[in-house]
Amino acid sequence: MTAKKRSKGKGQRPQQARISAASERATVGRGSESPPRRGLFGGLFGRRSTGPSALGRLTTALGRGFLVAGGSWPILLVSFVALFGEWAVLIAMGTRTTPRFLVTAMALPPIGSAIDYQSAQALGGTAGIVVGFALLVLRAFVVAVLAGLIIGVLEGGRASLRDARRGLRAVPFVVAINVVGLSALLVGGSLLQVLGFGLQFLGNVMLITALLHFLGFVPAIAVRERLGLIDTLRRSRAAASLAGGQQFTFCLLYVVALLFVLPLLGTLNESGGLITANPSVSAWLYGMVATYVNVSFLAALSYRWMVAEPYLATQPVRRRAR
Amino acid sequence: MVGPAAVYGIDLSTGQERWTLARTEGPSTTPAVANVKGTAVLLFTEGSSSSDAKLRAVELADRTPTWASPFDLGEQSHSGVTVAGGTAFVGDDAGHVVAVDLATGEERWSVSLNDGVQGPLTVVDGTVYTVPQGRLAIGAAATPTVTPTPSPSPSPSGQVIGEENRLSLVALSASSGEPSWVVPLPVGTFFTSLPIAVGDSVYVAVSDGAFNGELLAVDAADGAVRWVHRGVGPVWQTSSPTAAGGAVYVADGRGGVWGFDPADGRRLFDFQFNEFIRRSSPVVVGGTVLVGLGDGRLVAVDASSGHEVWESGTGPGLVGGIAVAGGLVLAATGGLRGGVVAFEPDPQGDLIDVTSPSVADPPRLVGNFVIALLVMTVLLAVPLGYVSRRAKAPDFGEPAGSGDRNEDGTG
Repeated sequence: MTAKKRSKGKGQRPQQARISAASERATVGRGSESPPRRGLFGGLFGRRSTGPSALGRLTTALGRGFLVAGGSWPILLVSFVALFGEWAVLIAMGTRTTPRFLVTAMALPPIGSAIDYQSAQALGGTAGIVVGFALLVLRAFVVAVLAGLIIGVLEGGRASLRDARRGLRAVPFVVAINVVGLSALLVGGSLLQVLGFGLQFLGNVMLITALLHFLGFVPAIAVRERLGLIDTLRRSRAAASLAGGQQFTFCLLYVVALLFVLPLLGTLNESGGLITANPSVSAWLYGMVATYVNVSFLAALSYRWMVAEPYLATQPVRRRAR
Repeated sequence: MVGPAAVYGIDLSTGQERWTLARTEGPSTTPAVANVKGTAVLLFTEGSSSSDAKLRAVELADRTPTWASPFDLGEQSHSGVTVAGGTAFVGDDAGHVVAVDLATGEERWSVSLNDGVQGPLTVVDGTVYTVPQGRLAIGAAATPTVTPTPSPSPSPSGQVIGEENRLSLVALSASSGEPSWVVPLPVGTFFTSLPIAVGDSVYVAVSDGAFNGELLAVDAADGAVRWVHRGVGPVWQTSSPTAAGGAVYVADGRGGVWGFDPADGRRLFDFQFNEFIRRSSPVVVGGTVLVGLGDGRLVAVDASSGHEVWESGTGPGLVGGIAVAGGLVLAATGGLRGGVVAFEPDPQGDLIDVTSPSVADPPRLVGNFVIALLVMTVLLAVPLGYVSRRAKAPDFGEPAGSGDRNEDGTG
């Protein structure tokens, strides 16, 4: 069976998802041994599973992510053109920054939206709010299209215009997680100020990681399934909480790479630290490598969701008892 | 010129030292020259502790003391001396501000601010302006190194002036020391530039802990904020904005020289030198803005075009304060062999015309991007595309409720 063959009827759900050989391998014993952990932080602090996870291996997901993002020129093209667009908008807004901004320009939500917020802050007042929201929607549009293309490739095809269009259905969902993530970062950042600089920084890193942990699957779910926002968020949380998935480790790895490793590599590029509107070729190359890493992690998250999806498809979306 | 242990008189035409006057060791600060009963008097601070911190006045001609004894300051001073209307104004690290009668050397009034005074007090139209704040360690981290205790000597009303737990811009009456108004600065303000007052506005650049800066214009009458321009870099405590020729100029710590419309804060131009500026404030001479950079260059930016038109060679230390006198531009230089450098006009010299790197150059911007795009696409898409075609595609289970197919299920 290929992924292009899908269930019958628009909007219909299969009674029970068929589980492929690959996902069976990835989820050995999932039925009774790897249930979703209960509670909000069950996935973070609960008992570790001794068996394979429904999310598959972390390294496999990363490898697949890098392969999918790098092996598809439409994905690369959209990513890099979006990077250029982000830079052009920033310069048009009159922001004075260095090419090191290019590292985080295409960061996944909520980091990317926090950067947009900072950029818009420079304008101040009503203009800052309007531009900030416009940037947030624009970023959601780019992430949604990329998610569509990535899922198109993961489903065994080539990234096509149809996949990009399919990705557009995720736009409102990504806008929502951008808003949720940004709000959490602003509120959390204010509360964490009482901890002092060192602990505040550590707290912010953990907060970003936790947000990515719980919301990271939303773009993929929104592209693959037709659910409401709340159900999509619930499924993302349920997937993140699957036993043994190392999803928090995965997200921490991304945050560390984005906020520490890539900026450190950026110091090798001397011109990257100078304020300019016209980055050099080497500065663009550096920004594109960082963008490739960002998109690869998005692809890895999509892959992880698709591996876990058949298992979760058999689980009803848990609703709060009334 | 005030050095750590002496005051120097330098011949403007030759650069030779004319005289030296010993001073008790202390911070190098800005001196002042005042006319007292027809005699030119030099005023300067000295000392580094509460026991030896003093304000001295000597006659410029023969360096004899003007007052019977130097004026005792309560604490070490980094403010230097500001003279206006027969009064010398000095602030110290503990937050005292004193007004001293130039003729007698006696105190007219003193007040206590809630933090130290880190640079010359601004005195304009009968009002003294300052931002009480801790002193920054000029190093890798901007961390206040001094937390002065509130002054034991009270203000006339017995109060300590300044917003609690927040930096504030303070306006005092120059005649009585009574606060005219106190304006809290934006939340998160970590340090500020020296304020300036021109016309009916006061301008001050504020910076947060992440070194993001803003230029504020407030009403000189009541302290109401007129406009804020965000996006400038941090402006150090040893630098101030400058107003001249219908514009306000700021030099930020990242090497940005900015011009703003004083009416609404609209940016007129900016030039990014990508070199730190810590001790230099912009000086405007005939439509040209002069600033000293950290690498020892003195640079000139045309105020109408925003282009760099001249620069000196680099030096061993940073260029700090700039003054224009006798057809010369004088620049204080730092470093181990710091001193004063004088520049004169060069009739044979050519001006340059350099655009700021912060101005977009579309052909260069797009060209560099396209080259990088081609390189990256070839480096990534070709080999990884080959690998992914050879690699076995992952086989996932059925998506739940996938509804993006045609009604007939053909997809």
